[in-house]
Formats: sequence, C-alpha cells, structure tokens
Amino acid sequence: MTDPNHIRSLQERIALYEDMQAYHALYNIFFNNLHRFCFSFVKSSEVAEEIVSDVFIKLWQIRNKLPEIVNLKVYLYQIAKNFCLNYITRHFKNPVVSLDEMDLETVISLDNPEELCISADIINTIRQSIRQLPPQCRLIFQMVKEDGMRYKEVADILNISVITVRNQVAIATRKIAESLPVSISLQYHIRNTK
Amino acid sequence: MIMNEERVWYLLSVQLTGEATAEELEELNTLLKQDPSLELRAEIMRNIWTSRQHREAGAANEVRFDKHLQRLSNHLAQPALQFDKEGIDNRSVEMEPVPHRNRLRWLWLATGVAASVLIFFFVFSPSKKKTDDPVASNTISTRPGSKSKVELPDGTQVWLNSDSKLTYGQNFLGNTREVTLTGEAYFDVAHATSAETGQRIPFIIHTSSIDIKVLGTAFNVRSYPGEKTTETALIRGSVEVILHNNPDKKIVLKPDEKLIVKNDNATVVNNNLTSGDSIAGNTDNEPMMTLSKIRPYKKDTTAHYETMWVKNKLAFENESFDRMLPEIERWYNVTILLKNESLKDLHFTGVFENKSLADVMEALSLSRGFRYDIKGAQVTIW
Repeated sequence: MTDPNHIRSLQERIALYEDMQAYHALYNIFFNNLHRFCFSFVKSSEVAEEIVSDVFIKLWQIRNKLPEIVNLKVYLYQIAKNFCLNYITRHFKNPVVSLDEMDLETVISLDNPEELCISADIINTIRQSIRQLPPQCRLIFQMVKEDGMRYKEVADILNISVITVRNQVAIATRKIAESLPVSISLQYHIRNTK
Repeated sequence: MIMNEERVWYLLSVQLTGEATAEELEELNTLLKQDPSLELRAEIMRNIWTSRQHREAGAANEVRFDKHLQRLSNHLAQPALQFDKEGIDNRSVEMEPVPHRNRLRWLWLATGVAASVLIFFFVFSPSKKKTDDPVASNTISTRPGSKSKVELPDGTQVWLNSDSKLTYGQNFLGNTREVTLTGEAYFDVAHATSAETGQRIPFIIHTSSIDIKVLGTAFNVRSYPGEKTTETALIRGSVEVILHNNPDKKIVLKPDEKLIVKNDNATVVNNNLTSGDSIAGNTDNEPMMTLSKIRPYKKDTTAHYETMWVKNKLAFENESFDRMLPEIERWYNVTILLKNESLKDLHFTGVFENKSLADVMEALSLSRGFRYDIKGAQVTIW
C-alpha cells in the first residue's frame, strides 16, 4: 500500500516532535482504506468517517508510544475493528459473536465491463457471486484485494489464523472464477480481436 | 478435471495476493498452459483483481481532515474520550457504559463548540509573514541559554539552538526556499512542489562556509561563528552540500553521515575519522573536510549526539574540553574562564538532561579533578 519506511518515519516524527504534517500525511494514507473497512461493519459512510476520526484521535493520544508499534497499519485496523464492534453493540443491542454472523457490507471494486472486456450481464453475475460469499470471506477478500494486505496482517487484525485467511481468499477466487460462464472465453476472444 | 480446476483457482489466489511460492507459480503456469479456457478466465480474474476504486479529489480530503482536527481539539479540551478504555485486544465486545444517545448529544455539542475553538496546531503558521511589512526578510533568533522551535511558511520545522539566528526572505514561498543560518539548527524540511512547473522546490540553507541544498529531509547544521568547523549531520533523506570556496565540488550525504567542513580555508585539518571516507580538497594532502558517521547514543539507537540538544539534552561524546566550554557557555548563557591551559586536552562523554550549571560543573570536576567557581554568570576553572 505504502512504503513501510515512510510510515515508520511519520510515526517517529509524530512521537518526537508532535509533527502535525506527519499526522496529516498518515491520515491521508490510511483514510480511504480504514473508511472502507469501517463501512463494512457500520454500513454508514458518516458513521465510518466518525470512527476513523476516533481512531486518529486515539493515535494522537498515544503518540508517545508510536515508535514501539511495529506495524502501524495492523494496529490502526485493530483499533478500528474494536471501535466498529463497540458501535454495533451499542447501536443494535445484539452482541457480536463471530464475523460470519454479522451483516457485513463489503465493497469490492470492479472496473466497468468495457475495461474488463466482459458484458454487463457477467459483471452482475460476478457481483452476485461475491454477495453470496459468507460475510467473513467477503471481508477477507476485500482486505487483500482492496487494501493490498498480506495474509499475516489480515490474520492479526481479525484474530484468525493465516491458514484461514489463505483458504478464504482461495474460496472467494474460486467462486468468482466459477461464476464466469464457459462461453465467456469465446466472448472475450471476440471483443479482444475487434 | 474438477480437482485440477480447484487447484488452479487456489494457485491463482496466492499469485494475486503475492503470497505464492516459486513452485506454486510454476505449477500455475503449467496448469494454465494445459487448458486455454482456464487461462482466459484467469486473465479476467486478474483484471478484476486490479480494478481499483476511484479516489476522491484532494479538496474533499482537506475538508475532512479539518473536520477531524476540530473533533480532535474538542477531545483534547475534554479528556473524557469515550473510547479511551479501548485496548487492541481481540476479546470481542465490551459494553460501554455511555448510552448512544449521550454520545450523539455530545457530538452535536462538540460540533457547535468546534466553530469557536482555536485550532492551535496552526499557531506557528504564516502570521509572522505580513505582506505589508516593510522589512524584506524575517529573522528568528535565540539568545544564549534559550532554544526555540519554529515552523516556516512551507511547513518546514526548525529547532534553533542557543545563540543562533535564522533569516528567510519575504519571497520565501517562490520557486526556491532559501534561509541563512548562523549558529546551530535542526531542520525537518517539508516537501514542496511548484504549482507552475510541478517540480520539487529545493530548500537551501546558506551558512558562512557552505550551502546545503535539500528536497525534504531531516538534518542538523552547526555553524557557529566562533568555531573552526561547520558540521552537517543527516538523519534521513539526502542533502547536497556546496562549498563556498570550491563551488564545483558538491557532496551528497546519505542518512547517518556527517560532513565537517573547515571554516577558514587558509588552514586545513587532516584528521580523517574514517579511513577512506575522507574527501580530499584541492590539494592532495590537505583535506579541508571530513566525512564520517553520525554518533548514535548507545542507550537509544534512534537518538544521536548531534541532535540531542533538540530534546533539551546537553550531550558530549569524547568531546574535547575547549570545544565543550563554548557549548556550555551558550547553553547556560555564562562566560567560562579556563585558567589552566593543560585542561584543554581533557575529553568527556556524557548526557545531561535538565541539569543546572552547578550540577554539570560538579559532575565534570569530580570526574577529572579540576576546581571551579561560579559567580553569577562567570565561571572560573583552574
């Protein structure tokens, strides 16, 4: 996503000098991804923005400890997850047991059909097959695809094993690939040779 | 065949996430070659994978960050942050005692207050630079015994050590950023890009003997008029040093390097600290500068002796007494009279944090057995 050394130096600048420019830079680096992640849980753009803001307030409050944090990205996502779960518990009054029992709204971006060289129908089929994936599987897929996360990072954030992450990504890939009709090869071929 | 296909999708998933081993990549290639229809679907999967969300324009980001700063300043003014108890442990969910409605009301209140709250992060900003000011340049200076931190209009942070002066022109934010330094300062230079050319705007520091040209980086410059050398110590990024008496010679420093340049070009030093790293001057056997590593402070690898003063620590590492004394004089705004010339060759290592002049003198005298006397701003050593 972004150069870890750059993030590291931003962490140090905030810790040592309360450097607001570095703080602003970190906010810009992480906002979109954290927002998407929170949105999956709370399903409201405004609430998600507020939670990301809370995450960065937290970051400011613990600024003295920033140099000790090895992977800031994972740390921010962990706080964000906890804040989201808190919000849901408080808001919907039903304690969350596992991610698969939650109603998650994932955002998997797809280019328009022309760029993907497939028809609009097939895009819909793809969307359909993503929607049918279990919630945790979708979330994991979103984190590796959209946020470019390593399996280990996703595992640390969601508190699951790396094997689970690997298997879930494989399942998502297979389900989507299988939803592509066999005749697609022909269609793809024709569009490409035009 | 089905098993084969499932294997292909697994292999593709580890390829796309960058988690595949070399063997897995090879296996994937072999399997895809055997079945062109799989190959085409794999290609579409790759395209799907690289589809990215379209990012919003920068202006929206700025507005959002301002909004965030307002919330932050509210929180700082009112320390009862409701998420404060949050750890990063993964025990699923704890109920917060604060009911949601309270939180909403609090937010509304905060938003109202926010409008009137001073966003104190920008205290340093361009207010110092009035356009109707008849003086063509701005000067920031520190007296002996005091230090200061300023933010320049471009966002560059400068820590100014005792008895130092930094001057920058009225047209500071043009296509160049130039400052003049006398004394010692630590710079954390902000990146700046020209609106017209799209090029990075260099930041140039003029001292009596060298010019330092940077794009965005952090480093320490020590150039006191009374001292024989000018030192540039680079913490991160990269800088280019141009010698006044040899403008064709440009030295590029890498992180953790320090360049010491002789101020008086009539006399030259010949004390290469690291063999092979020294750069010869015009004449073969008379180097007028030395390149060495900066000196990490043992207990804390991110700290260096060169920049300790930024954190208000008076630090010496194997420093000679006659070089230390001027530093102590500036630090405590005193005059030191050394009556015993033979003490000049003593060397000291140590870090003083929040210590009084008397503490420092006592520690030094105990370790080396000299005597001293402090009368007001006059220190005598014999």
